[in-house]
Amino acid sequence: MKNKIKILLISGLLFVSIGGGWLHYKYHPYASTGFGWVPFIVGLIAIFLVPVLFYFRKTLNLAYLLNGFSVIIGVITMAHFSLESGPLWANIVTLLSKFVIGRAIFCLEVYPLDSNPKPKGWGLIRYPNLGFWYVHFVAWTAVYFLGYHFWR
Amino acid sequence: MNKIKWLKPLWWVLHIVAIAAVLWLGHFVEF
Repeated sequence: MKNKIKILLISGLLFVSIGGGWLHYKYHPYASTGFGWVPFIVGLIAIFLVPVLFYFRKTLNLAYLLNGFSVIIGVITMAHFSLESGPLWANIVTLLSKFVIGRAIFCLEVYPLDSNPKPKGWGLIRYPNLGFWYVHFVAWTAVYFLGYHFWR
Repeated sequence: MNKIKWLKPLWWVLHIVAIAAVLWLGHFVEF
């Protein structure tokens, strides 16, 4: 059953990624705007690479990292777009489901099903716990803002 | 983290590359 759940979750991830990539391609094909290349390349990785990497135990960590950071990059850029051009908040919420599915696959593989790990202290913000993602989200937002605001 | 020898250098390389990439992304977008 565990393997079935894993395949179902990977399929869910794949469907959301295809849907997201499709939407981006319709809104701004990579050739017409420079920044269209970013979701195009990230989308290709999310559709063709990440689901495969999630399937194998050896590449699970890489899949978890790529998936998490692709969500972070999407949330930051789309939040920026929402504030500057047109609201994409609904799309951001949809994108967050990808993070949750990725985390579910990771937890399914790494922790026993009836376990309840409780990291303490620095462990809270260290890989692979949720705090790691909060810290990196804040850090990426800060670095992105520096690049946008000061490197003109 | 210290169990694998190449993990620490990789950690530094990843952070430097990621900071440069995200900084560039902020510079690059035109919203």
